[in-house]
Amino acid sequence: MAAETGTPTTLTLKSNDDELFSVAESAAILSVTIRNMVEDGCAGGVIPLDNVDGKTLASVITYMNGISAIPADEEKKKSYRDKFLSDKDFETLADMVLAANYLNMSCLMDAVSAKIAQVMEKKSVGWVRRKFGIENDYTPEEEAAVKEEHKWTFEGVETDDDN
Amino acid sequence: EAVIRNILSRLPAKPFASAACVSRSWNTICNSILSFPKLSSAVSFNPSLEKALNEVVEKVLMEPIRPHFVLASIGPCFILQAALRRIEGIFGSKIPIIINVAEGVIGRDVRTDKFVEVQWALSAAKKKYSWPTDTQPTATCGMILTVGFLPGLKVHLVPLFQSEGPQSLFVDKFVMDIREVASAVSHSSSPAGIMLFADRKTNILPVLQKTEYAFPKDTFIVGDGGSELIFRISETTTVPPDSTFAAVALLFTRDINKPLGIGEIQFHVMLSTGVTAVGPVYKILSVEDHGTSTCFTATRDTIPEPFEGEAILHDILDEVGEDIMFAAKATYIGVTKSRSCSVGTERAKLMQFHEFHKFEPVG
Repeated sequence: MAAETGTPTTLTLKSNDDELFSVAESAAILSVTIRNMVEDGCAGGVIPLDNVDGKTLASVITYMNGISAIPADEEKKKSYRDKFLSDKDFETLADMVLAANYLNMSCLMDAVSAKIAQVMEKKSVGWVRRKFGIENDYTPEEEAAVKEEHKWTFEGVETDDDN
Repeated sequence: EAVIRNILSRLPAKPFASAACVSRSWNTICNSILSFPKLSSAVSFNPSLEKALNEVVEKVLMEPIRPHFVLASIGPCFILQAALRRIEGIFGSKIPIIINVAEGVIGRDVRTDKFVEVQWALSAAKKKYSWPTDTQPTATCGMILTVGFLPGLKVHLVPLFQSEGPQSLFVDKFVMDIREVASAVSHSSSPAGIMLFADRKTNILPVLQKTEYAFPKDTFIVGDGGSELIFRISETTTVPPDSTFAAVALLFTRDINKPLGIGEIQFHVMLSTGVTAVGPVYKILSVEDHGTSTCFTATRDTIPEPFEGEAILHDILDEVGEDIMFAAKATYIGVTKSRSCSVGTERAKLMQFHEFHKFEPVG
């Protein structure tokens, strides 16, 4: 790895909207996808990341740099992740979880998934459908049946307020 | 889909259930996350029933689970009816709920996350044993809540009724009710298992004998007979006139309509070491019935002369040592008996039972 050779190597990443980013190889290889490219020797020029846009990639690189600057201390890394995600809105989180999945970064993936789950906790079914862009493909009968099966969750709870 | 799965598996039980209502594909993902049986339980010693309940509920519903049944055991300072009302308020009106007041609780404390075992301090009138003063329990408030999810099984409550007077347990009706429920959801009239909760005042022995006779060996039958309890009867249950309940069975039946890809749940029943037999085997020669107790003489394979029951007690004392005898709250002997059994108008059949009887010297 680069750190062992003495001179830090820099990689150039390209987003799907053609933005270029420079990032230290030691930070970038948090992504297993990028690490595999480096190990296969195809990281010489520009690394194209076809599934990530510039805005999201900028965030992910901020995270890569931030987390790799912290020594092996799980507590500190966790508090960095919490702080890093605290001001992100749902759309940003959704883009990041897809990027983390594509880049194969399990620590970011897990942290963002947990954060999204936390945001979803108090939301209605309608909110979830809208935000995730999911079409309700239940027939009215099926939906009634599945709601009946999960009736205990809705009893005594005010449902379908959209905030 | 892997991304969605990763997110949904982190949801607490309630939003997880909402997620299943989002769409068919999300429901499929939720089902695959919850494809294994799960038991979730927690203990709280909060002296307020409301707070204790909120604490344990929050804990047991922290991960995805679909409650198929709810069991709670509360300390004697709480009131069963109040606990049932609150638990119904949380879990709704369709899930079987059984609550009892037992001798104590064993489980994981929500505050410390450590396993605890607490025996409730019972009021003097109820106290059966006397503890040495330094170990005498003082806690009376607290509860354990267990929520179970068993994919591929259906869970029902079947009550056992009794009318006033002796010999008045409707055991035949109980067995037939169980068969009826089992037949309605599975291929068989035998359930996968029965958890029996009997009221302290109920003589559970004839009930156990008949249920053991009525169902095959692979139907497990376990339970508790030493507590006060309360449960919710579904509206469809017909209560025989002038009767009250004496016990309730939590019935696990194999669902013929279980979704594809759900495995079969196997149950294993094990005896704890506390009821493992020690000492030799005797054969009863004569018994003398004294109403609530029985005096007997017996022989042992190698020794021809008969023993008095009391001599056997001395043998046991020699075998296990005085320390254990004094530490044990009671000594029991295992008795194998043959009895003829039948349900309704069926032909009687001879069954062997293994029973434990409390064993003490005369006088």
